[in-house]
This record gives sequence, C-alpha cells and structure tokens, in this order.
Amino acid sequence: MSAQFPKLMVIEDESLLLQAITKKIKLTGAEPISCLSAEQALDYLKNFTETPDCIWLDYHLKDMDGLTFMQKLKENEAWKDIPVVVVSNSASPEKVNGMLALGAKKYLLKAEHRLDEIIEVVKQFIIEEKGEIINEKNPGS
Amino acid sequence: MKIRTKIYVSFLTIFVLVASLIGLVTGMYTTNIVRNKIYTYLHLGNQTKAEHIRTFLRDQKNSTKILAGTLSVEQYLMRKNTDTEYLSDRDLLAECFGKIIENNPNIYEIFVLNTDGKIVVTTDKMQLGLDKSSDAYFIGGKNDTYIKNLYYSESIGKINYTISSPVRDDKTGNLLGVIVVRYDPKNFYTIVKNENGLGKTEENFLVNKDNFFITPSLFLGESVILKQKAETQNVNECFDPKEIEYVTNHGYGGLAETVNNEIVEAKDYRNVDIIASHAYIPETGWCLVTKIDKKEAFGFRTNLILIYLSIFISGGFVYVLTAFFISKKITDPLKALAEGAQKVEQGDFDYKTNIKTEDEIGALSRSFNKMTAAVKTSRIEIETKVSQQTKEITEKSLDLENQQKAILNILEDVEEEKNKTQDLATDLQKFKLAVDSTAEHIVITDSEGIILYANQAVKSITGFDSKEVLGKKAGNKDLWGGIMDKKIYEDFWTQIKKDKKPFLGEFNNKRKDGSKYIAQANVSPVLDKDGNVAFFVGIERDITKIKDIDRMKTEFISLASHQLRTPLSAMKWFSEMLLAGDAGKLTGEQTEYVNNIYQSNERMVDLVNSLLNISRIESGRIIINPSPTDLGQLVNDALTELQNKIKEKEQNLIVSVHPNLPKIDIDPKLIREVYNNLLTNAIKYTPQKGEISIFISKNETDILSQITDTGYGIPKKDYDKLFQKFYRGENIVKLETEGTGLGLYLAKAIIESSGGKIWFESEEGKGTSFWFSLPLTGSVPKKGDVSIDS
Repeated sequence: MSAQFPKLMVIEDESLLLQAITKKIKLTGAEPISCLSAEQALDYLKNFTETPDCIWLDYHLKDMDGLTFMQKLKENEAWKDIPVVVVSNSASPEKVNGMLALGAKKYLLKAEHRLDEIIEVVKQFIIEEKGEIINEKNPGS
Repeated sequence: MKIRTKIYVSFLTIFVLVASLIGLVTGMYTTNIVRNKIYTYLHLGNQTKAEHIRTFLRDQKNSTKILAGTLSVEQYLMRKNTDTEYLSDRDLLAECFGKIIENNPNIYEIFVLNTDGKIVVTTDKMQLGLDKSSDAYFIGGKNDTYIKNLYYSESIGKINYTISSPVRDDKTGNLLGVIVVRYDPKNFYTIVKNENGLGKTEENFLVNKDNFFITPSLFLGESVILKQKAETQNVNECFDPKEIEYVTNHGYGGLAETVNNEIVEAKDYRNVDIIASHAYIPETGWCLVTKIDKKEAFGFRTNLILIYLSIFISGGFVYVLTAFFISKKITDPLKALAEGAQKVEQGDFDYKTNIKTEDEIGALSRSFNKMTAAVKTSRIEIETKVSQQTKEITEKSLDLENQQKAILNILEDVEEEKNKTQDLATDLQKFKLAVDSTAEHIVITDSEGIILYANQAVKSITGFDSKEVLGKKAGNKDLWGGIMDKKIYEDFWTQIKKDKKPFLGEFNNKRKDGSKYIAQANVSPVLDKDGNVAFFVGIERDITKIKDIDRMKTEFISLASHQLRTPLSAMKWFSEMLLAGDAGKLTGEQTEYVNNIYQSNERMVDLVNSLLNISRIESGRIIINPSPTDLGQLVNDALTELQNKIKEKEQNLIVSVHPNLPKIDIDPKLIREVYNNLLTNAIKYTPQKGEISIFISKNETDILSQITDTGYGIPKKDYDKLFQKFYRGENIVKLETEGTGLGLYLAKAIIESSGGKIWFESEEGKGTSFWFSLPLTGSVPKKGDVSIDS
C-alpha cells in the first residue's frame, strides 16, 4: 500500500478544471489519477490493483451523478474504504446529506475554496486513513 | 311613531303648555303686586321723612324764638352802652349762651345783632362788633324767624345753617335786635339719611332750589354737598310750580291718592335705573328724594324664576315618570301581542299570549289566540297534503327558483329605476358591464355563501357557467373548492362571517374539468345597517401563470448561477496558481494584474452567492432551521472573520451585549449572514479611524441588535430604495466601487422571514444606525430544500 507518493484520484468532467487540479496536485508532491468521467474512474479501479489513497469527486458528472458513483464504490469490497471528498458547484442540503450518509468525508463548494486549501483537506484525510490502516494491521498495539 | 312615544309627547306637550301659562300669569301678577307695594312704600316713606324734617325744622325755629323772647336778651339790648352794667351783662349773656351750646352739640354758635346789624353778644368773642347788616339772617330775621339754608360760612369755615329770630321790646313791640343760632348740619344729615327699610340701595337726600345736594349721597358721600347738582326727572317734578303751590297750601295728604303720579321710574344722577318718590319742603324750598335701584326692587323676580323652574323640573320629572308607567301599562300588552305575532309568523303555532286584562287589548289577545289555533289546524292539514306529494329536494329547488326569481325581480326593479333616471341607468349599465366583463372572477353571495350573482369571468376561469353556479354555495366541492385542508376553509369562513373582516389570500382551486389553479382571493362582507352580514363580495384572480413565471424566473437564476460557478472556479484556480508561481515566477506588474483578475473573480463569486441566496428566499424554498442561539456569540463569530478589515482601516470597535441575554430559537446560519452583511457595510462605508458599535439588548418581546457607524451616511432620497435589490446609495457608489447592492435586501428578507423587523436611521456625513429585532419566542421552523451558502 504505502507508495512513495500518495495517490489521489480526481474525477472532474471539466477538462480545464481537471488540468488545474492535476497540475497543483503534482506540485504538492502527490500523484494524481485524472479522470474526465465516472466510467473512466471505474475502469481504472477495475484494471489497476493499486487503489488510490483518496478520491476527489465532482458531484455533477456527465455520465453519472455523485450518489450513483458512491453507491458503486461502496458495493465493491476493495473500494469501499477509500475516502471520498466531494467538490461540487452546488451544495443543497439534500445532496450534501445524501453523500455524507453514503460515507463521503467532506462536501466542499468549488468556488468558495482555493485549490491549495482543498488539497490540504484531502491530504489530511489520507494521513487519517493511513493511520487507521496501520491500526487495523496491528490490533494488539 | 310608537304609541309610547305618542303618549310621552302628548303628556309632555300638555305639561309644558300648562306650566308655561301658570308661570307667565304668576310672573305678571306678582310683578304687578310688588310694583304697587314698592310704589306705596316709597311714597309713604318719602312723605313721612318729609314730615319729620319739617317738624325738626319747626322745633329748631321754636327754640330760637323762645331764646329771642328771653328777658335777659331783651333787657341787655335796651341798655345803652354807657351803662355801667352793659359790659357785665354782655359777658353774663355770652356765658349763658355758652352753656346752651355745651348741652347741644348741634349748635356751633349763638350771637346777637343790634338794630344796626352789628354783633353785640357772641359765644365767639373774635366776632364782636362785626357788621352783619347785609347778611340774609339779619335781613330775614328782622321780620320773623328765618332759616338760612345750608351754606358755606366764611367766618367759621364750615357748612352750616342758621336760624335767626327778632328780639322785640315786650311792651312796645319795637325791634331791639336779632338773635342768630348757627347749626351744625350733621344731625340733620342723619335724619334725612335714616332709611325706611326698603332695601340696600334705598337712598334719601335733599337738594336745594338750585338743584345742589345739601345732604350726602349714599353712593358718593359728603363731597357732593353744594358741589354737585341732581337734575333728575323727579327733582324737576318736585320744583314744578303747581306742585310747590299745592304742597305749600295743602301739605302732602292730598297727593296720596295720586301715588302713581308721584312715583318716577327713571335714571338717577348716577345714570342708574331707579324708582323714586319726592316731596317739596316749603319752609326751606328743598326737595326730598327717596329712591331705590330698580334692579333691587325687582330682584325678587330672579328668585321667583328659580323657584318656579325647580318646581317645574321636579314636577316635570314626576310627570314623565307617570307618563312612562301609564304608557308602559298600555304598550306592554301591545308589545307582547306583537311578539306573539312574530313567534307565530316564525312558525310557533303553540304560542299563546298571556294577557289577562279585561279591556280591548285583552279581547284582542283572546281573538289572537283563537286565530293562532285556527291557523295551526289548517296548516297541519296543508302540510300533510304537501308532504305526501313533494319531497325535500323539489322543495329546495322551488326555493331556489324563488330566489332566482327574486333576483330577477330585483334586476327588473333596477331596470325600472334605469328608465326613470337616464343618468343613473347609464351608470348602472357601465358598472354592470364592467363587473360582467372584467377578467377577474366576481361573485356576490348571500350571508350563507349562496351565490346570487356570478360574472362572465367565473366561467372563463372555473369552467362553470352562471346557471350551474347560482344558488350553490361559493367554493363548495361541487364547484371550485374543496381541495385544500378543511381547516383552511373553516378559518376563512370564521374570518368573514363571524369576525366580519375582509379576507385576502390565496386558494388552491379546481376547474370544472378537474385541473387545478391558484387563485388570489379578496372576499369582503357587506354589512346591513344593524351590522349583520347581508352579502359577500368575492373577487378572485387566477394567478397560476404568474406563480409559474415567478418560479421559472427563480429557477433560471439558480441554474444560471450554478453554471457560472464552473468557469469562476477555473479562473480562481488558474490565477491562484499563477500567483503562487506554479507557472514560473511573475514580474511585479504581472503579479499585480493577475491579482486584479483574482480579486474581480472573487467579487463575481460573491455576486453569484448573493443572487442564489435571493432566489432561494424569493422562491420560498429556503430552510429555516431554528436552534437555541446566543446572539452575542454569533456576533463575535462574525467579527472574527472581519477582524482584518477593521484593523486595516484602523476602526474603533465597541461591542455591548446585554448580560442576561437568553438564547433564542433562530437559524444561526441566516442571522449570521445578516450580521455579516450589516457589519461589512459598516466597515466598508466608514472612513479610516471611524467607529463601529454593536449593541445587543432586549425588551419584553424582542431582542434588538443595533449596528452603528460613523460613516458616510445615507442621503434622504435613498431612504425608500435602500432595501431594494441591486440598489446602492448614490454617494457611496463613487467612494466604494465594490458591492452588489444585494446585502441589505437579503438582510431584510432573512429578518422578515425569521419573524423580525429591520429599520435604520442615518444622517449624511455623520453615520448610520441599523436595528433589527428578533422575537424572544423565536422563528417558526420552515421546511424547504435549500439553505444559504450551498
């Protein structure tokens, strides 16, 4: 599991935004996995054994909405523990509560936050997640 | 007019007529008697006093005469001045006179004149030897006892009168000299002044033949004596030659028969109305006036009127009371009979009147009871027949037809009126046309909501034509109503029927074809003169389309704003990266420009957020989720975010929160937005080093928040536009280019939907204060699908 760089999957259907996010992640020393659609992301997860440390998910995707994607993620034993941070341009209580209920870690509003702020949040979750894994592997400690 | 009223009126009319007549006659009669009495008393009083004065004068004359006849005076005057006893006799005589004066304080002086008119003996030695031959008392006194009228004596410097008498040789009767007694008039004044008891204004005074006062006036005192004239009507009559002649020869007695001629009602020397009597005094040629003020003389009339009025009022009261009982006695049975008739009319045929009197009304009542019984019998028969043939429904439809006919009749009546007055007809036609053809649905119902009239729009809006509608209850489920919660209809009915208040609100209705629509309704009760509901007028408008458009507009704003967030994010993030040097280090100028792009983009993000919030509030989709909140804490949270801006402008911040502020149930997210907006404005529109104060206080019902600044203020002409969307004050647009003009609009919308109020006061150049209140009872929770900042 423990690669040199944390792997961060970004699912964002706006290519310009994806470009910016990818670039910024690289600059902060993480490894981005860029996906322009939900299908693309699911393909990646199926075909590569190495799962990402965290998923950055846009709610509104052209082929699928955030809820459906989350459900698919939770159905798979290998993926269900990957932390998800939702970054969307709308945050109605209905969507936020739905996503959080399905296990999303955080729901952020796109235009409200700086890019480096969001990356900082995501990194925080990765550290948290890795700590948990360690604890699971050493139940005695 | 009611019988009772008639009885009242006739009783009262008689009473007033009789009382007035008695009052008038009594008044006139009494006045006459009193006038006669006053005349008599005045006349008698005057005569008595005149006699008294005459007697007094006669007595004084006699005294002087006796003094003149005294032997010692006679002997002294017969002596020659060469006689040895001449001087001793003179002193003896003077001493003798002095003793007389001592015993009689009314006498000033006694002296004796010889035949040449020289003073030879006197009580005042200074005067001895003076020549008085030309004085009236010498000339008059040589012949007979003589009274010299009141005059001012230069020798003693006082007003006085003198009585002089001749001294004769007892044997030859030759004149030896004249004795003169000089009197003080004080005693005489008292005699004249003494009242006859006629009244406070009774006055007696004497005038001499030149019309001068010779005794004091009651009103003006002694100063009038020989100084002021009294030339009044009765004085003139007194000095009438005929009267002087009569009194001189016959005395006063003969005049008694002509009392009325002796009494004068005129003005006196003060120009006051008086009643007066007079008497001529022949001995001295004086006139005695006795008079009284008319006002006092007839003053009793005022008392008489008062007494009469009190008798009249108390009498009237007893009279009215009597009239009330009599009329009640008569009208009560009549009223009972009328009530009976009304009860029978309403269908209570078992009702019997309970009037036991043996008079005509009793008889009428018994006939009435018999008639009621007869009507009841016949009615039962009819009802039996009718109920066999007709069922309830047909009866109802009959009633309905009758009602419709009645309405048609009314309309026909209106037509008749129309023919009578052309103008009125034209007006009515115009109004009817207007009501008939207006686009709004108008119905008029009776007090039970049964439709009496429906215009053409009722058909075009609801689909029911007027024949289907007339006679049915408005808003029934057979018509356009019935699809909302039952309670809403009940509340509506209570408001218009029971509280008699107009209703203004929205209804969800359905058309004949079942499709639903939203109506904005305005239903007003029309009251009759007793305040009961006579009709209802209902005006409804189909606002479904307006509502749809409104919703679409809100949705459009929401959608557009969301879509804007994607490009805004791109611009934000790329410029952020440029500034961070992610694409290589920028020059100073480049950093400045990219920073400008970044800041402008931030403003656009704010604008989109505000627009979204407004569309949420306007659409009513916003969630209000109250929880117990400490407003002081909320303000502090808001201030923490703004701390940097305040520091940047070096502004002074004062925060004062009521020490026992209770937590209240409000939506903290929403109210924080309000604080945020008001504080941002205060900071933004207050110059460097200004002051911003926040006060949170409470009263019995609300918590008040006040935010005051010492900023630019708001121009008067902007007051009414201040809370409008996109409005920015004219003075601050130039000073601060940043701002959306949405902050106050949003604040107002939030406060009002939270159950509070917002207002402000401002003075241009001095500062502005905003207040908002939130009820202690908290905000009402509201379900919705969006919250602020999402």
